[in-house]
Amino acid sequence: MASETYLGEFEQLLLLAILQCGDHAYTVPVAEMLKERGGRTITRGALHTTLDRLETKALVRSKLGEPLAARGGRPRRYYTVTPPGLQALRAARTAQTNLWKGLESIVGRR
Amino acid sequence: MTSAGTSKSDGRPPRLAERVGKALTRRERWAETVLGDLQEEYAGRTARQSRLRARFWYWSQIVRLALDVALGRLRAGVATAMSAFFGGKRPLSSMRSELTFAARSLIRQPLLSAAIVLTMALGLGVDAAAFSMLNVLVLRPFPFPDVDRLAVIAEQSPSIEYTQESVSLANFFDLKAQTSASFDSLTAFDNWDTNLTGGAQPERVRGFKTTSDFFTVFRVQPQLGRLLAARDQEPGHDRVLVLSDALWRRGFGEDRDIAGRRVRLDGDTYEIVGVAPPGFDFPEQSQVWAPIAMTPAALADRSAASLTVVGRLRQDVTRATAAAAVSLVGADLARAYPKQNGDTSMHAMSFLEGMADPGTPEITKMINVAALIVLLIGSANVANLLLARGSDRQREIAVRLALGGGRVRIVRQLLAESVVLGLAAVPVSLGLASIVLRALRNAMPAQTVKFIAGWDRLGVDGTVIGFTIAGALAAAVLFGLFPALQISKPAIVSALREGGRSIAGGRSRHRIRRALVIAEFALALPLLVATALAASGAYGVSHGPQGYEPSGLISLQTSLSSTPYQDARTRRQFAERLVTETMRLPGVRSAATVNLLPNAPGNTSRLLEIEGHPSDPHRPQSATYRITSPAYFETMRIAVTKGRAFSDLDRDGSLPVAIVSESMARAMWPGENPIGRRVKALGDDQDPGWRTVVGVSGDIIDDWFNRRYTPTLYIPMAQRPTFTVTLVARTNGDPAAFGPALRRALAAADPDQPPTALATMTQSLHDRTAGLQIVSALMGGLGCLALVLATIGIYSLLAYEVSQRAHEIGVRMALGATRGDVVRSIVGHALRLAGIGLGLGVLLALPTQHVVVSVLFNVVAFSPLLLAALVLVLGATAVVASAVPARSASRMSPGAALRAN
Repeated sequence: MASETYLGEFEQLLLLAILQCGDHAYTVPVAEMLKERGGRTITRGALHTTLDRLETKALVRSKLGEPLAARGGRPRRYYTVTPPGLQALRAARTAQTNLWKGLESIVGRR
Repeated sequence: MTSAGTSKSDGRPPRLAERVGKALTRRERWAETVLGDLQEEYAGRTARQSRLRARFWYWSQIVRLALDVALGRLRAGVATAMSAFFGGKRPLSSMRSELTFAARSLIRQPLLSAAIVLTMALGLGVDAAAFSMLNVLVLRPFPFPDVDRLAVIAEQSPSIEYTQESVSLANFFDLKAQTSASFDSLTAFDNWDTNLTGGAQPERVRGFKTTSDFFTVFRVQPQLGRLLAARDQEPGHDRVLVLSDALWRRGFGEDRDIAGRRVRLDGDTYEIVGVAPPGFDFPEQSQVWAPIAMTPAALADRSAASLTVVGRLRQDVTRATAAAAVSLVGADLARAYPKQNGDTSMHAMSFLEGMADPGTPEITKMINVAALIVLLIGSANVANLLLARGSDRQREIAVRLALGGGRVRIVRQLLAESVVLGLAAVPVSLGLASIVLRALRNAMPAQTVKFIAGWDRLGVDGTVIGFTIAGALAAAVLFGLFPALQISKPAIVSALREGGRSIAGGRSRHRIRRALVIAEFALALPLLVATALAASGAYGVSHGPQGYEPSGLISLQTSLSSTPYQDARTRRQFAERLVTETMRLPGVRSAATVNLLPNAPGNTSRLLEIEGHPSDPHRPQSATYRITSPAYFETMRIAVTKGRAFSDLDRDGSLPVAIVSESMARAMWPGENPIGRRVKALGDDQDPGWRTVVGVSGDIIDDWFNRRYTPTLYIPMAQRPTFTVTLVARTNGDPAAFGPALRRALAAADPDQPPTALATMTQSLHDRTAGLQIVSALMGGLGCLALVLATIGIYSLLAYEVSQRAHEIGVRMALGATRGDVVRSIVGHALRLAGIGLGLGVLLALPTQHVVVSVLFNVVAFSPLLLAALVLVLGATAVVASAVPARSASRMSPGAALRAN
């Protein structure tokens, strides 16, 4: 099933941002990563809704951290990309690389 | 500025905002996480920036979160509703099959479907045309960016007639210096129509002299060369010219190396420095722009107040702030220069308010309301047709309901049919709108069109298409939903039992159908009142009394150049030669000159001093100012009611005389005889002294929109020769045929002097009032459409009822009712429906007429007689519409009627 999951462009970027953040992947640094490296500003609602959706599709998993005073006693929610998530990313990359082949003369290198 | 004052409650976001956030996200799974994120980021911010800014940031995040949540819920709601309505996981494909099925079932009844599509196309078409007018003329009449950041600054005083052209150069520079905190850039411009030679052919072009900031204010970039620069304003460097795109294409063959080329304007040589971008022709379809030369004399002048001033507001300045700053400058100027500015105040208004044609927004809105009424009446007709059709399908629907086809499904199917009908009408309606709009563009005379920004852009564009599709869908739901809900009512048993003949089952349906017809009449009446007012207004302005006799008059205007005609004597001689030459032409009965004829664009007026009446500085007296040759009153057929007209004896050196209009006599010398009184026109160097009133003339309508029966002062031309000379001649036969002869007379008077305008009086009256004629034609079209649709509505209702009541009529006739009884009952029924509708219509029409009269510049007056006449017309329509069904009912043979069904 998971290999048939197609990722939207934003979902891809979000999964990559989570991977980039490593162990520190909770919503605040993930949003910053998206902004800095991905050039995307995203509203909070959209970010959380998308993460929710990815979790329902079992592409990410989340767990709560310790309650923190800086967050008014609320815990952070840390995300990790699941194996099906990684597989979906790979599939997306393969599809893209295949489609990019031979187009350098038209689109240019970088 | 940093965390100095935030020591204690560091990191704790504004409590109220947090509470709002909590309430907003209550139902979201991620509520806690997002609030935690916000607090964490807030804490980070308080360390970096001021607490106020951090708090502001927090609040802004909460607001965005609110929008997010609202949007998300809306989306989820729509998705749920769609999937419930279309009963499946793939709403789009389900919708497609639904629509295909609907289209098929409509094709099975081609006549009915065509009638519905045509009705909708008429309604939607007039709506699309009206919307295009609203969109182009009112919402975005000017094709340059950020019009809402522009302001027009004007001076107001009792002596200023056109407030838009009211600022002197000296005042402008004071204004500019003192409002730089409010305006990024500020420009002043003055119109400058000029004769251009050096292009493809000599021509008269519309131009403006501007300060160098002109193009900066409108954020315009050149497409070739450059625009105006500050240095161009220096005397000696000011002979430079920017061309409009249109003139560059038409007159200079799109020459890309045009910069540096020289042309002659009114005899002076100018260098072309650049070309404005395509589409920019502000103001008033200008074709050339040149700088105002800042000569010391011009810079010191506070009395020549004819500049229009436009400014672009600074980013963070509101219009109210700027307006306050402008008023202050105005008050300062009034104090500093009491002689020139004493009675003057300064105002800033929005660009649209200052520049758009003043009547256009109201008229356009009126036309849109009228078009909407036509669409509503059309929709009511369609709803009626669908209800009638539904009754015929009752059996089919009852069977489907009985077999368990849910009501939602049936409603959906019926609605899909309405949507298909509505969408089918869209292309037809756009074609119709495009025809109407093209006719409108062509109907407006060229000299008027430049004053109505956007008129030349009327047409069907993407916005209009989008509006029409949305309108079609809205109308489809409007006219489709009612019938769909009615028809699908689960009155299964009775429908099946009646075998489809249904009267009883359709009782409430009948009520709805009648209510729709009543509504049509109620809406049609106020629309017809507006139509009749517009039509009588348009007729009145062109055929009603003007105070002079326009038919048989032809006029020719010329502007004398100041070089050969500097001396007043030469101007007098020219005007006299022109009249003599004209009088020689066979067929000319009389001829005269005047500075400005009625219906001419523009006006001249003067502040007055009346001998023996000390002037009140708060209510200065002014009058329209006309300078005429002796035969003017005779030629125009303006009555001289007291005293005498001018004669050849009123010459330079003889007693300075004047004639006043009756309205002026009443205003300045109430209850007295004005003959022999003395009056002085102020602010005219060439006419400094007292003038003795020798005659009183009848009032005329000089301009239907601004000057009806206004006080007017007439001066003999021989005592004050003008540069603008308008020749007017009364002819035997068609005046239009005298055009070439008048040109010859002008050439005989001075071969180097070109005519600037040549038209019959009827033509210039028509051109001046063309806007009203067009409005009247539009409203007339809409009114007729409404009348026809309402007639069709009541006819189709009655025809249907008669066919449904065939059985009952048969029974009645079998029991002894005569044909007369049957006819009476049906016509009476029609009259009752129309009567109720018209009663409601009268209630709507009474407030409507006030609005319409004021929108139409008060050139019409409402009369109860008019309302009564229209009620009769609509009543008669109802009788006529009922005649055919009544006749067919009365001709039924009782036997056949009883066997029917």
